[in-house]
Amino acid sequence: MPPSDPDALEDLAYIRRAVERNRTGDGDPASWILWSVLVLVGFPLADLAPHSAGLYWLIAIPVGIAVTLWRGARLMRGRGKLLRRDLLVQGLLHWVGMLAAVAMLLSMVSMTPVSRGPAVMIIVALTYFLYGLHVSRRFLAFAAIVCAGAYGLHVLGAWAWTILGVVLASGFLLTAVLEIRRRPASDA
Amino acid sequence: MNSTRSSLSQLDDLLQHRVRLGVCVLLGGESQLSFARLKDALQETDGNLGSHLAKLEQAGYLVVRKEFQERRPVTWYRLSGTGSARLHRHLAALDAIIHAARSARPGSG
Repeated sequence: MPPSDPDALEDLAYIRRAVERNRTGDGDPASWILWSVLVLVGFPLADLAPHSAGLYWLIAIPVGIAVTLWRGARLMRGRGKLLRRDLLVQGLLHWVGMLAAVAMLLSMVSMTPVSRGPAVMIIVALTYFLYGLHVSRRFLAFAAIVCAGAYGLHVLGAWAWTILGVVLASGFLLTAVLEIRRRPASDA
Repeated sequence: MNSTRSSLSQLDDLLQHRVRLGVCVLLGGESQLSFARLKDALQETDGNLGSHLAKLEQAGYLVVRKEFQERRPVTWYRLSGTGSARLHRHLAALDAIIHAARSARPGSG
């Protein structure tokens, strides 16, 4: 079966198209909307009620991750796909690592309140970047937003958190809209 | 030439058909896929896909599991250890053939 054989090339194209079809339409718009709401509430808290922001995220992040994972697994099962456990664990470890790094940073490194925000956002940006490399490419764009946000927190004064929150939440909402458009007809 | 003959002998007869190869490639990247998901990805009819899946199952390449989801029967497929090994051997043989063909081209250095 030489590579120039048209039948062989058509067979490879057939398989490539099948793989691409299997990859599309796997997103969950509701989870993107959930995170959009969590960010829209949580980020302005850092400007309006800074003492409440820590407690808010301590609850919101684990709940958000748990709901996202539960919905994702249920949705994929309904769409005829059971994900490989090693891939699930690989994805989850990114977020666990992020939370561990933030916890260590806040508990072990002495920083002013003004420095804390950008430092945490740099860790979040790095996690989004690595998740984008290893799991889902769209997170690379969010990594860029959060990285720019970290810089914004560093140079801007008032309302920097709110601005970053609105930009990030808008990105999540846009992703939800794109996922709704790409959703398979069987989901309706 | 000898390495090409050797690679050709490593090609799996069952995976020479693109539907069966497509099934195994799709399952190689996932834990399990349902019949409906495979049909949607491969764009085959129920009968055609079913007969290819049956051949793969009979040869021990696939593990099949049936369950009910919201009162509808769902059939799940995953690659067996044998299926996974045969797929990787087949893909490695294809890779070697393509590499040999490219090397044999004039001016390929």
